[in-house]
Amino acid sequence: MGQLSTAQILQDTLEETLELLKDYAWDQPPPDDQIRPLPSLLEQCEQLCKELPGEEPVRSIHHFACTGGTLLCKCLAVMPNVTLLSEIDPLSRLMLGKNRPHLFLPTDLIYGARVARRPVDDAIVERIFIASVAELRRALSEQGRYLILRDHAHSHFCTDADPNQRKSLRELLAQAGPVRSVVSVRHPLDSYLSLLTNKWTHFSPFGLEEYAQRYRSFLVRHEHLSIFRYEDFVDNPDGVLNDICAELALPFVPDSESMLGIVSMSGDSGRSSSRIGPRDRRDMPDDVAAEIPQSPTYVELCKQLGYSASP
Amino acid sequence: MTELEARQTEQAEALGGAEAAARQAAQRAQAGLDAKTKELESCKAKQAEALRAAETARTEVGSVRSDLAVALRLQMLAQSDLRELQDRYRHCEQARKQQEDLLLKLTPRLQQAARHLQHVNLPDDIPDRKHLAGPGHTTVADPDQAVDQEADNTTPDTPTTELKN
Repeated sequence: MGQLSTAQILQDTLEETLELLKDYAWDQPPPDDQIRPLPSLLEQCEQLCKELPGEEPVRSIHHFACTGGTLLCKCLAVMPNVTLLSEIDPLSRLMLGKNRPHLFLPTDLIYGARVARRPVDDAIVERIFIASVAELRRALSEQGRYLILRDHAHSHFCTDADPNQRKSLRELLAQAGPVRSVVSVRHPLDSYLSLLTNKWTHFSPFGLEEYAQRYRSFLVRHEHLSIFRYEDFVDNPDGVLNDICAELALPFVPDSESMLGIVSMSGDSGRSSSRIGPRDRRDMPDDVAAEIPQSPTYVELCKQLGYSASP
Repeated sequence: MTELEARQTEQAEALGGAEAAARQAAQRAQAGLDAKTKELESCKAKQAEALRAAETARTEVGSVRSDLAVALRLQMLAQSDLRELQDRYRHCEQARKQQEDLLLKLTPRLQQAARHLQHVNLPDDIPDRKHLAGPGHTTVADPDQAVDQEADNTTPDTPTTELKN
């Protein structure tokens, strides 16, 4: 059998194409002046394909504990067709303490596999998580919904486990498909004081300098992402939310504050309220005040985020 | 003396009668008072019950108001979801219509190209491909005849040079 000529291949291709387009075939060919030349039509096809929306991304928002993330995420959760999962970190070990009793979490496959007699390692957990997120994103996308995951970055960066020895939530999400992410921050002194109040001192040595170093590690792992400040958000909620939604390619509706009452979310650790507004700084213990001049990283961190390091 | 005693006895009897009447009157008054006291207690109980009912109703109204506020917010949320979905549907529908229009324009051009290609390049060993011409056209096996027929439908800018292998 000889090789097919270019013309024959072209003819076969045209034949197949026309078979696909048979529903669009005309009974009678239209007058030539009614249709544009073929290259122009093909260009239009290409342009139309370019304009089609691509695969729906997973969205993620990353912040440290006690930085006002819950309030911000409650507002995001009432944006149209958003499904927001709060405080997610598949590699978190905070609920896996040695002497902790097993929790009743019958729907949590990863937890079940972690606490089994022969537990699974991080690599398997990552695979379970990536497959779950990919399926969840696909299923929600079919219903016209947007998936947002709120990172529990405290599990990653503020425990005794080395943050550099594991993948971040965003790095895992990137393996499940396209991702759009933002970071939110608050004055580090405010979040540090709240950590102390809540007794969330999961790393040692616990101190302002160590906290600031971990905060900077977190920022390095999420560099190139847009950073939004909590203080700007409480000052102008709709303006900042609009910017965040634009960054995450989400629809925005104003006045989410009026809807806060119908959203409950894990992580509501602070002085929770259904009103958005600035709060006074918590009382500062003397020993914390004494830490500030001893913490060069804290000063650098404040400078990086545009805050004054002074108490 | 006897007359005096008789008057005293008469007075004593009169006093006894008056006393008995007074006692009876007092008893009646006591009975009336008891009845009024009972009635008052009953009224007080009813009042307390009414106050409790009012308080319950007030709580229920507060709860219903709260439920209504939540329901209204959930409705607003659902409306916001719906509006956004409708907006996206409108865009998808526009894109689909554009695609359809484009394919309707593209198909006859491809049919035209297929016919032309077949006519200018149909060797003897390739079977006749009538279906390429699409509805409304007949394709002939003889290339010369085909070129003649094609000339009627070919636009001036249609390439007529034979495709090289």
